[in-house]
Amino acid sequence: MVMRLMLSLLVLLSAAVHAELTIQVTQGKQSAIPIGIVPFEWDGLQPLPEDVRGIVNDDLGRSGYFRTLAAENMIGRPYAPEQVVFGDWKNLRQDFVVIGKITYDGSGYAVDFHVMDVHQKVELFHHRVRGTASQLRDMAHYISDFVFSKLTGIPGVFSTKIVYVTTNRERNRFNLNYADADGAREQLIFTSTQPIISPAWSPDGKRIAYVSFESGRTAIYFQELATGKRQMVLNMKGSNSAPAFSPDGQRLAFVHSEGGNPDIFVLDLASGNVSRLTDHYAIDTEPQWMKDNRTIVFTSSRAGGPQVYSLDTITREVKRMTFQGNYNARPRVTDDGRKLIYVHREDEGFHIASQDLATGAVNILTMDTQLDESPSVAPNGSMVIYAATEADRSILAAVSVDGDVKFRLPSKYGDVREPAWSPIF
Amino acid sequence: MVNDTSSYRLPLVLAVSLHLFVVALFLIEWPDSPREIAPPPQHVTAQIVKSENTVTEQRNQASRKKAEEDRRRKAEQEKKVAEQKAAEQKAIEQKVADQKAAEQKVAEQKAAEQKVAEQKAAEQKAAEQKAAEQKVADQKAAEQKKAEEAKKLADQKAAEQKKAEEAKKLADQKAAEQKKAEEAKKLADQKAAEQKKAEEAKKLADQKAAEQKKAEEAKKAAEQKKAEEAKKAAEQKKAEEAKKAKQREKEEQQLMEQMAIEQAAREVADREQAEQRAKLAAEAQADAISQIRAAVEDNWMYPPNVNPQQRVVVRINTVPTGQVMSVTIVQGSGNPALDRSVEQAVMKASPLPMPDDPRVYEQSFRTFTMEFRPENATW
Repeated sequence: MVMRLMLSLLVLLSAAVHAELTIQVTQGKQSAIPIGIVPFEWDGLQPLPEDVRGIVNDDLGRSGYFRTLAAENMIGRPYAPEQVVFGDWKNLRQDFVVIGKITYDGSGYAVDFHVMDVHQKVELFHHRVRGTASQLRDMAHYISDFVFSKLTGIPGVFSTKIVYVTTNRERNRFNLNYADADGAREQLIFTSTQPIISPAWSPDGKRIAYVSFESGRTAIYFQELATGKRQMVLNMKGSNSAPAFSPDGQRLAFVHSEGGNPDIFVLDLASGNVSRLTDHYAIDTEPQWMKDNRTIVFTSSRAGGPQVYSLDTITREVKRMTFQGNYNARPRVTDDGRKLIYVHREDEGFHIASQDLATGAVNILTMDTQLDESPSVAPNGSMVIYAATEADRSILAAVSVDGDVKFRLPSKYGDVREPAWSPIF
Repeated sequence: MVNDTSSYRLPLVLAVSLHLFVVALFLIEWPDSPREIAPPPQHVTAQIVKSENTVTEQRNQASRKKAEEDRRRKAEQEKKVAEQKAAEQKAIEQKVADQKAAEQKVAEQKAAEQKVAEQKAAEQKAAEQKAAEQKVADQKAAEQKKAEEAKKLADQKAAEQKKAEEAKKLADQKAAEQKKAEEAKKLADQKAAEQKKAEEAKKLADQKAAEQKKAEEAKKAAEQKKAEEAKKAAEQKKAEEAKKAKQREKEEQQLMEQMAIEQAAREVADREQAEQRAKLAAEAQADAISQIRAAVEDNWMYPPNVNPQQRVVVRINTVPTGQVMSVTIVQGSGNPALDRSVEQAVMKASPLPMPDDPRVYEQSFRTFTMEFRPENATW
């Protein structure tokens, strides 16, 4: 009897021991994903008007989330899934490979591309994109966005646009420019002999708000991108500047100053009603909405030097957000609400810093450029575009939000200032 | 003249129109008119040929198939394990039976020994009894002999008495004759002689009676002695038997106790061995776990936009070399990119470090689960 009991106990025990083992893993790495973009096969007689693979390669490589492989280091140039030798790519320490083929059918181009998983040895995606010759660049950005979003889980921003202001040396020509997020295909959308400042996108990406001095005093204008139609929205006595759309597109925060004391105001776009949000003898400026449609971050000198504050538009409660350094200004918040990006000065030189809103940790993203200003965050929070001074000239530069990847945007004309990154269309 | 003026008209018209044309050209090109703004490019028409879903579906199918195979394999394995277990149980039962049999044998042997001992005891007893009987018989015989001797002695005495009587008769006759011869004188002598003779006879009779009494007493003593001896022997025998029984009992008890001790010692040894084995296995398992964890962590590059609350659970099938045969998402995070990073991490870490002990491997590492949480995510 006892024996039997013990036996059954033994069986039970061994069953318990046989329960499946679970190993916990909690520490991964945050590092760029290695990806090989193989030059796409093109069997046309003429070279393509755009280097599609090169654009995709640059897009992904500059995002900070990918590390691309130079074409000359590749073993073989597969363009169909069955041609991919996974072992080769594994030896090249790649995690993913993108291959594809471009064809022309008389009316337009088509790119067939495949995303291959090197380690699981499977084709993850097969996709086809079509367009005309002038859309090859858009097609390339589309491919980049597709790959980016599928492999990172966040949307790509390669098809987004930027607007920025350029001026000549003499400061008598001011241009508002529109370009791809990588700085290509620049277009002029407005030009004036008087200064243009603070361009801002509407949340739907259809219009730009900016400040122009053309009427003799600072006024806020809206301009439709598709038609070029302009409209003066605010022309209050004194100065009006720094327009910022609320995420729902219903309101416009701005700075108004009468008699040299700028404060934050808000304009209800439907009714045209203006209300004051701050009333402080110090300077309150550069408002930016947070995603909740309620909180505004702004720069204020109420503590002496400029620091970043948050403002509850309902309770009017103001809270200081930055404490490190003697200069923190021009705040921007990532769409996910996790990071605050601003211009930061610790000892000397102005740099772009990112502050984790949960932990408060400050990370200075740019050290190699001087007098960094006007950061604007990509709509997916992956990158920051900003203006920097290089060899007495103001240029546009971008940095990944972790500070690892930096690059300069090409620009052809004079000084470049105040970039604004569009939402995702 | 008219002709002349008319002949100038055409060149004049031409000249004027040329000037007008040039002016017009200037008018068009001159002003610093704002450049024509091209509308933002149209969005590209993208045609999805094969969405992720179909590929995922394929993969899911593959993984389902794999899972089914795994299940089958697992079932087989379980069956095997069950069989093994059954065999083990059988073995254990057999062992138990063997032990029981051994015990029984021991008991039987013991019984046999006891029997032998009893038989021996009985034999001894019988021998003792026989010996006692013999002794009694011998004693009896001796007594009889003694009695016979006594009788003989008595007979001899009686014969001697008869002889003495005859001699007396003869003496009487002689005395009568002497009497006859010596009558007066001899009368006194005769009388004295007779008296003396009577005295002597009486003395003889007395002696005889004394001897008889002595013989009787001797007999009686011998009988008493015999009875006492028998009684003593019986008592001794009884005591010996009791002692023997007691000793036997004691021995049995001792044997039982020793067996119990041995059994306990065996159990302790078994348990210790099992514990030792379990300890070693646990150490090997812990070792392998930490090595596998390190290898996978080293290869885990998770995507941005993950948070520490997200969790991915995968089931991993390996072969003893550590080669990963399959990674199946048991519980996804909802973020396909994170799930994929986990699958890749495991595949990249393949072959995984595995314990050397095949039993430890079979027990825990042929199929196991890994749970991933990006706790150090700050991106």
